[in-house]
Parts: sequence; structure tokens; C-alpha cells
Amino acid sequence: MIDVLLIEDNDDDIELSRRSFEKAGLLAHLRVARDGEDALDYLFGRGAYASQGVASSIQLVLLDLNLPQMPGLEVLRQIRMNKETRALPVVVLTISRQEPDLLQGFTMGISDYLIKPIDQGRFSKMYKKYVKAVSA
Amino acid sequence: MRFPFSIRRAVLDLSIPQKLSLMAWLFCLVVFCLLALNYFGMDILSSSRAYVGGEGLWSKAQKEAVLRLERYIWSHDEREYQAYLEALGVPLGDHQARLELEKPRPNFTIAWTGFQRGGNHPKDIAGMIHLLRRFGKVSYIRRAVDFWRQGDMYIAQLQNMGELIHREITSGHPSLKTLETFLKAVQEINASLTPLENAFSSTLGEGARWLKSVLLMTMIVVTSAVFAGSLLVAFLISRHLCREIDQLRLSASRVAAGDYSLALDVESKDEIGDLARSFQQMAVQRQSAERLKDELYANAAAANQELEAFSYSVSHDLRAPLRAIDGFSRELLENCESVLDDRGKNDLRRIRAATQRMAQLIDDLLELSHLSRREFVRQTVDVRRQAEDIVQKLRSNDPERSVEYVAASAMTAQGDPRLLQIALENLFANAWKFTRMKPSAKIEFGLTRQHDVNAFFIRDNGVGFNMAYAAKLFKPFQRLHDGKDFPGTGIGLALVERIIRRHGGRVWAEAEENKGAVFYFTL
Repeated sequence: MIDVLLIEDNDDDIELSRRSFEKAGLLAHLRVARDGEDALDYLFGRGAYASQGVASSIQLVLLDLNLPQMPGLEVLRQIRMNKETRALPVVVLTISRQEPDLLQGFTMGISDYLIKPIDQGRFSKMYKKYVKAVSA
Repeated sequence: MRFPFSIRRAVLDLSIPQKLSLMAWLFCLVVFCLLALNYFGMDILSSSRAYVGGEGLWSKAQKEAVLRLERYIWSHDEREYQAYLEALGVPLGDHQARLELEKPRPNFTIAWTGFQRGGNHPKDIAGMIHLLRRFGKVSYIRRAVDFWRQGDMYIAQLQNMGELIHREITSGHPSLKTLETFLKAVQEINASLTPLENAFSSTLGEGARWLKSVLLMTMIVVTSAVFAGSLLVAFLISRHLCREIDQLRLSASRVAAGDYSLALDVESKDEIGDLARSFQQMAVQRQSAERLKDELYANAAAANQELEAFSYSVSHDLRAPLRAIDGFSRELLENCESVLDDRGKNDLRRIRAATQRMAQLIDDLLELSHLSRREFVRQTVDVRRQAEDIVQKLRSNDPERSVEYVAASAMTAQGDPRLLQIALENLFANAWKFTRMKPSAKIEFGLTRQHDVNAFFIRDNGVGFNMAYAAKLFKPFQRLHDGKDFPGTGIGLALVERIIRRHGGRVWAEAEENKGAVFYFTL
């Protein structure tokens, strides 16, 4: 069921995102990682998640560009470099259209972007677009 | 070789006018030498001419004396004897002069009268005396004087003879034989004198010729030497000047290119030396000014970078809590609808409105600071087109309003298109906003002449403002209207002012309350 990975460190933003997911009825599909390193470990099935293997159920990554330690763009780069996750849709979360990291992200293979706070309607559209329903 | 160096030093330290007049003086020296030599030569040659002439008088007088004496011998005529004495006076006079001049301390008056008795022209006598005294040792003159001395001896003999004859004739009747003997003696003396007279004048002639060639040689040598010396000095001076000027020029072009390495090696104390020293001072100052400029530049660049980083974190860190406040207020509104009364709901709405205003303020602030760091390009911009697009967008965002828009035909400006877009957006947004209350709003955009310059203007017939507070207009966050009637952060005009200033232009406004406002700007 868990097919969306949200990589975000700000508690308030996380909570508001959960509320949006809830309104869209997608709360159960959400997993949150609080920093880039942890997110990558989870995605690639390494480190603390070595026993679980590659997180193949994840079909959409919501990536905040403003992360502590490993920057958002670096996370994006590593996702794109790994052959398991090369084609994984990554939607970045940004504070404005003019944010420099967003502009650079366009050249690095982001799939789309959302302006924070995540609007529930927009997010639903994005979900439908990128996440194929899992056939039972 | 210290001596030549100090002369060189002294010459190089002369001022430039002094150096030039030195060169002029050296050439004058050449001319002076020529003149002096000329005068000297002419003087001497004239005097030797006088001697030759004097010799002529001497020998004529001597011959005359001999003739008279011979006649006297035969005629016994006392008158002939007197004439003989008179004629003899000439060589005797010259003799007197010579004797006097051969003394170590001659009486020049005696010498003068002697030469005068010798029949010489008074104007020549001084030169004759001078020649004998000054150049008596010169070979030609010595030889000539020798002949003269020998002649004088024969004259003395003649004198004796004359006296003897006179005594004999006046005392008695000398016999024919005696007279013949007298005559023979006189003729012998005469014959001896003739070669001496010739020798005297030919020696003087030789001497004159010799002197002429010596003078010529001397003139050539001396004038050549002085001339060459002057040329050399002139050449050295001009070479020195050119070298210094060249160094200066080279240094100047290097300093202009930013190369401060060449140290000027100019030692002289003349004007060029002073110039070089001033120039060096200037170069040193320029160098330190450049260093200062580089420092300031680096500081400014560093400050800019810091500001960039600061803005970045400001936009993130300030917005995050705002998001939370706004988001959770909305959540409260949605989730606690049933529990909240109207007042509670309104309170939450106020909270949200306030946070949204703050978010807008942050955006505006960031834009204001970002603006001055952007690169500026200047090109032709179709401002009429830009204005039309802006008004179009205003209309589509606010379809209920009907605003009349008038624009002059074809207007272009020289400026940065993006910045001009922002400025126009703000000016039109203001015009749009402040005509909100007017049912028949009208906005005009055109070109006019104000205070002797061409200026763009945007006129509206909206609520205007109080001209007394016009000074606050373009300051950031200063608003002249109630935020409730006309919402806004008060940053728009500050942006416009900054943009117009960046273009090197001016922006100002005139208004009347409730009649409207006009905003002018030049670029």
C-alpha cells in the first residue's frame, strides 16, 4: 500500500502534508523520511533497511529541496544514478517558482514540482498521474 | 674623473630654458671666436701694411737724402744740405721709435713722435707700436727688425758722412779729389742700404703671408673645435632630454595598463626631472588607489554574496513558520467548524490574512534586495506593448471593472526590458488599485515634456494623494492610504524608484486628492 515516500524534515510541513493526504484519502499510502540519507537507505534497501531490500512498492517520491545535511538535489541525483530507481517519479516541493534549486532540478530530471504547502487537490492529480493502481 | 662628472651634473640640473639658452650661448661662442680671430688678424695685417708703407717712406726719404747730399757735394748749396737733413729725419725718427720700443719700459710718447717724424699716419702708429712690442719676438718680425737695425747703422754712417762733408764744405774749399771720395763713400752707403730696404719689405711680406695662412688655419681649427664642441653639448643635452621623455612616456603607458614595475631612473633636477618625480608620486598613489579599489570591490562582492545567502535563508526560514500558522489555522477553520462560533472563525480568518500579508511582505522584500544585484542590460524596449499586456492582465484578473485605457502611439524606451516590465507593472497596478472607487476610471500612458526633458507619464483619475506627503511616496513600506481601502505593502513605488534610478533616470509624481495622480519618469 505504501507507494508514496515524502522526504521532508520540517514537522509542521509534515503534519500539514498528512492532513492533505488524509483529505485525499491517501494517508495510508504515505511514508515519511526525515532526511536524505535515511530516505536513500530505505529506497535502496541498505543500512538499517538492509533486511527489507529495495523498496519496490514506492511509485512516487515527494522531495523537499530544503533538507538538512544531504541537500535535496543530491538526493535526487543519487536516485537518478541508481538503476533500480532511475525512472522513479520525483516531485520536488518548493517554496516558489523562482527558487534556484528548483530551476536546477529541471535540468536534473525532476518529474514535476509542488509549491508548499501541498494543496490537496493538486496533489491528488499528481498521485493519479504517477501512481498506477496496484492490481489486486 | 670627478671633475667632468660634476660638470655633467651641473649641466643636467639646469632647467630646460637654461639648457636651451646654454646651447644658444655655445653657438654664440662660435660666432664670437670667429669675430675675435678676424679682428685680431685684420689688426695685425693692417699694422704690417703700415710697416711696409713706413719702409717705403723710409727708403724714399733715404734716397732723397743721398740725392741731396750728392748735390750738396757738387753745388755746395746750403739749401741742399738742409733738404738732406730734412729727408734724413724720416729714418732717424723711425730709429728713435725703434730704440725706445726696445727698452723694457718704453716711453710711448717718445716712440709715437718718432714714428710720426718717420712720416707714418697717426692712425697707424698705435698699431705699429703694438705690433713691435707684442710680436717683436716672432721670427719674421725679428728678421725684419734686424734688417732695419743694419739699415740704421748705415744711416748713422751717412749721418756722420753728412756732418763731415758739411764741415769740410763750410770751412773751406775741398779739392775735387776729396769731393769725389765723399761721393764714393755716400754712394757706397746708398748701395748697401738698398738691399737692406728690399730685404725688410720682403720679409714683412713673407710674414704677412705666413700670418694669413696661420690665421686661416687657426680660424678653421678653432671654429671647428668650438662648433663641434657646441654640437656635442647640444646633442648630449637633447639626447638626455629625449631619453628622459621616452622613459616617462614608457612609464606612463605601463602605468595606464596597470603595470607599476618600471622604476623611473631620472636624476636631473630640471623640469623633466620634476615631472618624473611627480609622475612617480602619482603612480604610487594610483597603485594604492587601485589596491584600495580592488579591496573595496572584493568587499562589495563578498557582501553581495553574503546578502545572497542571507536572502536565501531568509526566504526559507521565515516562510516555514508562516506556512505552519496559515496551514493550521485553515485546518482549524475546516475541522472545528462546528465548535467555533462566528467570532472564533473570524479570528482565525484574521490570522490567516495576517500571515498571508506577511508572506507577501517577505516576497516583496526579497524582490527589492534581489533587484539591485541583477545584471543590467540596455536595449530598445517597446513599452507601449508592455503596458498593453499589463493592462490586459489587470483586466482579466478583475473582469467586473471597466477602466478606460488610453495610450500614445508607438512608444519605445532604452532600458532593461525585465526591469521596465516590473516598474510598469507596479505603476499600472497602483493606477488600477487607486481608481477602484471611481465608476468611470481612466488610465493614460504617454510621453510628454517636463522641465526641459522628455518623460513618460501614467495618469489616473483615482483617489490621488496629499502632495504634502509626496516625499514618503517612494520610500519602502511607506503608505499614504489606509490599508483597508487600498491593500498593499507599500513596496511597489520603492521598486519603481530603484529601477528608474538604475536606468539613470528620475521618477516623480503630482496629485490632487480625489482628482487623480500623475507619475512621471525619465530614463
